[in-house]
Amino acid sequence: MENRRTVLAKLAIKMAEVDEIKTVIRVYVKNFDLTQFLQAQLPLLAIIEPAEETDDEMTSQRSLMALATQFVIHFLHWGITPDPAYEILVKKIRDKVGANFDLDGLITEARVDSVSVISGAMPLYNFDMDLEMKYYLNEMVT
Amino acid sequence: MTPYEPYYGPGTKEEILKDIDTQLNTIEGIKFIDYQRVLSSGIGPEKYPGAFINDVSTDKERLLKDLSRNIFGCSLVCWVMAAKDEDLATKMNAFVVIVKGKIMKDPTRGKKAYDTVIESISTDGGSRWPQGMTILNTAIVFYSED
Repeated sequence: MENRRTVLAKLAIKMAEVDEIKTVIRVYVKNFDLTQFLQAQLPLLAIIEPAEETDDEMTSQRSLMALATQFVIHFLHWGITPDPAYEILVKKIRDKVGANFDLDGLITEARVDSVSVISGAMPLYNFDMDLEMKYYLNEMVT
Repeated sequence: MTPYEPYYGPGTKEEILKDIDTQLNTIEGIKFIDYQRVLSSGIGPEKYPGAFINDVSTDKERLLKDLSRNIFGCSLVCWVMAAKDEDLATKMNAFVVIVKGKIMKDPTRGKKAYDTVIESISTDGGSRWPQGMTILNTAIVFYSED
């Protein structure tokens, strides 16, 4: 049984293991101040503070918590089209958040709900990836 | 037509001004190029045609801590002088076409800018005959690491 704090902390650690990602941060707003970061710190993956919803698995015995978070990935690309860089990043992150992505046993399920198209303008682009995770609820106050 | 070469890296305003100077210097018969000038006062007929390169403005938008997008306003004031048997308008038009061609030949300013746009072209309408003056206002988008 886990809690939101440990799950999100472990998620940040795990996403930092993706070689292509240079920086992982946790933020409360999607439009955070990107001017605090250097070029060398990109690609940057921001984990948006998730919405949460409880879900009883067996009434009055165990509760599941569903966390609906979002990754916002910012990256630099100087070429004529950012598509190749986008495709590599999406693939690497999807490979990470793929089979057996249980945050070392902290969560029971992780599912990528959607991946957005590329936004931004040369040379700074971004895209979103919605992620839902479920874990058994530890009833202690977090 | 040569395919458009994409831009690959940041530049500086000084490098861009130097590239414009270099391009204008390749105009056949150009006699005089100077910076930060508008009027032709004190310039003799032997220095026509000529051009003044004016650094007008820079709008900076910070993208990252060490990366900015800049829109550099550069105004080119060009002068020609018609001989007695020449039509000033024709000579002026021909010169503007040449200057435009030189400026737009490489919009990346030697891979130091993202793009160059000529925003406006205006003339004195022949009111200074035999001198003809044209102003080309350009906007040059470039990225800088400052």
